[in-house]
Parts: sequence; C-alpha cells; structure tokens
Amino acid sequence: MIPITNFVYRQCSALSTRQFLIISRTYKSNLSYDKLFPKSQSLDVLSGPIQAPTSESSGKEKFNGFIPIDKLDVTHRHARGPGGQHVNKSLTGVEIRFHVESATWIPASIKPRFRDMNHTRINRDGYFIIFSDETRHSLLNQAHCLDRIRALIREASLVPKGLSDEERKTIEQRKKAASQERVIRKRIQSMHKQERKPSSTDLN
Amino acid sequence: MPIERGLQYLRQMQRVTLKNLPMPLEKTLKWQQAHPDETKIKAIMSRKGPISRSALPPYGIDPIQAEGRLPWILTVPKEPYYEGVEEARQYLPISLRTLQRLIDLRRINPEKPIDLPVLCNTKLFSIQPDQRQFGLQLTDEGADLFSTPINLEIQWVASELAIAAIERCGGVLTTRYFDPISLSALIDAKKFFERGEPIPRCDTPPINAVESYTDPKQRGYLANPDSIREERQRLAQKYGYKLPDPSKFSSLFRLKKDPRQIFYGLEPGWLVNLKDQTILKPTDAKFQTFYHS
Repeated sequence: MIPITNFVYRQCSALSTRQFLIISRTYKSNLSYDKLFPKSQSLDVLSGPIQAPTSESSGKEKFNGFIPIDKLDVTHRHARGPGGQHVNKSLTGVEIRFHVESATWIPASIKPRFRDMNHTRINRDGYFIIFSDETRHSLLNQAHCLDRIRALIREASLVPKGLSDEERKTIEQRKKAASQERVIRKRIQSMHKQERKPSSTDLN
Repeated sequence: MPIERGLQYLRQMQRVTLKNLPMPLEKTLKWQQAHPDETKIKAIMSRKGPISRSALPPYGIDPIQAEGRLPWILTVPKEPYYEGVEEARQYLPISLRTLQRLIDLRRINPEKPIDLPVLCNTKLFSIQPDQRQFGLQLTDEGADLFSTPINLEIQWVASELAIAAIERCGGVLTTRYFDPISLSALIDAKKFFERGEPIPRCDTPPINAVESYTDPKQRGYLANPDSIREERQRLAQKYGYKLPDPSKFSSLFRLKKDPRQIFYGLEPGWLVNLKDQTILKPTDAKFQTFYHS
C-alpha cells in the first residue's frame, strides 16, 4: 500500500524550558522502577543488554535463529483471491527472496540439505523465493513468510538419528527367524501336495 | 392421658409446654400437605390440573403446591454468559489508523509523548469512569499505514500486530493502569485543576489485572525492562523489521512516568492554581510520606 506522506514538523533541537523541567524533574515513589527492579541491568527499555541473538550465527554448526532482515529482499505484491477493491488495489502480499549461496546466516552444514529439500523454491539464479497472502495485513504476511523460512531451516537441520548396533542386530535376527519360518512352512506345504499325488510304493 | 403419667412428667421435665408433651399425633399443616387424604386426592385427579393434562412440572417440584404454574425461580431465565459483567473493565478502542490520521492532521504532536490527556483533548473519545471504563485500547486496524515513531501510553493492547506496527516505525509503547479517580483527573485535565483538588496518587492495578500489567508481552508498565527489551527484539525478528538505534532517540522519547504519577512533570499531592499560574506543594511530613509511598 502506498504510505501516507507525513507533514514535516519543525525540528526543535534546543529544548524549551517546559520540556527541560519535565525531563529534569525526578519524582520517585516507593514503586519507582529502581526499587521494583533493583537487579535489572538497564532500566531503559530502548537500550541495554539483550540475551536473545542480535547477530548472525557466525559459521557455527547450529542456527541461532537470527535472520538479518536487510539481507532479505522483501517486495509487496498483489494478493490473490476474493476481496473486491481492497484486494485489487492494495499490495498486501509479501514475497521474500534471498540468494542461498551468499546467505551467510544459514550455517554451512545445513545449506546443502536446505537446498536439496527446497529445490522447488529455488530458481535458476539461485534465489530462494517464498510468497504469502494469507491475511489482510502485509506485516502479518511478512511474519508468515519468515516463520516458514525458519521452519524450513529447522527441518533441514534435523539429521535423522540412524540405527544403533543393538537395533541393527535385532532387525537382522528377526529377518533370519522370519525367513527360517517361511522355509519351514514351504516344506510342510510341499509335503502336503506330494501326499496328494499317487506314489509308486503304495500299490505294492 | 392418665393422671399418674401426667404428674410424672411434671416432676421430671424441666419445662412443660403443649409442644413438649407426647400428645396423640397432631396433624400439622406440614404433615397434611405431605399426606393428602382421599377427598383431596380425588380433587387433584379430577378433570383439570397439570396431572390430568400431562403437564407435570420438572422432577423435584410438588405439582399440588405448584398449582399448575412453574415456580418463580424457574420462570426467570438464566444468562450465564453475562457472569462478571458488573466487574468487567471496558476500554474504548483507538486504531492505528485514527492515530496516524490525527498525526497527519496535526491534532497530535508525535515528537512529544502521547498519553491519555493528549488523546482526550482531541475530543474524539468520551471516557466515563462511572461506566466501568478504564481508558483506551489500541486496535490493529491500519497496521500497514502507520509510519511515525511515537512514545505512546495506552491502557490496553489486545493484539501483537499493533505493538509490532508501532515498534517497527521506531516507537515505544507502554500499557498503563489508571484507577477511576486518576482517570477522571486525566480525561479533562483543565476541569480537574479548576476543581482545586490535589493531584491524586495512582493506585496499583486490581488483582485480576496485575498479570497483564506485569507482562512484558503487553508492554506493561510494571514489567521488568530487561524482559521488555527481549520482547522487542523477539517481535522485530518475528515480523521482519529492524529496531532503531537507541542513540537517535530524543530525551522526550525515554520519558516514563513513575507508577504513582499521573501527569508528566507533575507530582501527586501538588495543587495546580491555573488562575495565579502557581503550584502549591504540601510541606507537612505526613502528606509528603503519603504522596511518596
């Protein structure tokens, strides 16, 4: 959707006396934030240490969950389906593309498997493409695309466990036992059939 | 009753009344109702009445006492879906679309913190504290249109999309509780100051609201700032936007009210005199301890 352009506000670089008074005054009750959270690392919501990953997983084995948004190519396109004028005019469908080879945020151990599993989503130039128009809001559609990307990376990172030695032994034993039983059954059945035939020893 | 037995009762019993003595069985009204006699049964089984018309009341109700009608407690309907409606808090909706429109039409200044008195001064909302209304709530209509960074203080947020839309543009959102007395001061600040009452000290939220106002996912004002920072990062990764550089914010954006404070820059306990353009502050120790508690 074409964003509404904002009016330009006069940027006041110097604070007026009223604003200065508001900021300089510090009223602290018994429920002030430094008393409620004395062990907090930073009382400011905007700046401070964060435990969640804020940068790419640098060449490590495991994907740490961080996707650098500026390395993805996000385009807004027309959504499909019914909806009249709203769906025809607004661009609420979201397409995300990125070049798989140059994506450093996918660990190198996962990348070949990722490429094989999603070869239908990757075009000839090597770009992974995903599109979503599930909802009316482009923001939600973008979240849907990213969620799917994360799910695909997770699927690619899950390696099948494989059989242990014990499991292999038991499977072989069972196969052998089954084939032995099958042979015994065959022999019995063939005996039954032979008994039906007239034999040369009987008449004597 | 033989005389000897009667005298024996008089000697042995502490109190002798008509009810105490073992007289021959009296047929009280209660007993008579439970044991209708032949004539009464005949009258009931007559041509009329709920028994003969196969219109008996539900099990447990005496058809004779019901007199062909359902008891009152069954005639009044049950509406269990209205349970708790007297205690439920109401919040008037404001969408992101109206917010953006007000900013575009210059009815709100986005460079200053936007809170309840600023929004009520636009005269678009009529909040009535006596109708169990506790302020405004943010709805997500217009999430794609919204494109201004603002420092918004609202009373409730229901959808994550609304929070993401504000933080995507580089804004800050907090949910803040105001009790009804503080709310009436905030809705029409000028009228409140003209009344000549000291600024009230805001109460803590009720028990059923504490959980949401301490929740970082709702950006509650009593939530741990560390958790709120984590949630901001989580939303940025979920919805696919980048959080802005914290050094670019002006000091007005970082402005946050104390949990007991209602107005920016004014403390509880102060008396604002608009006519003489003065503020009267309490000097007595007991008032100071109360308003700082």
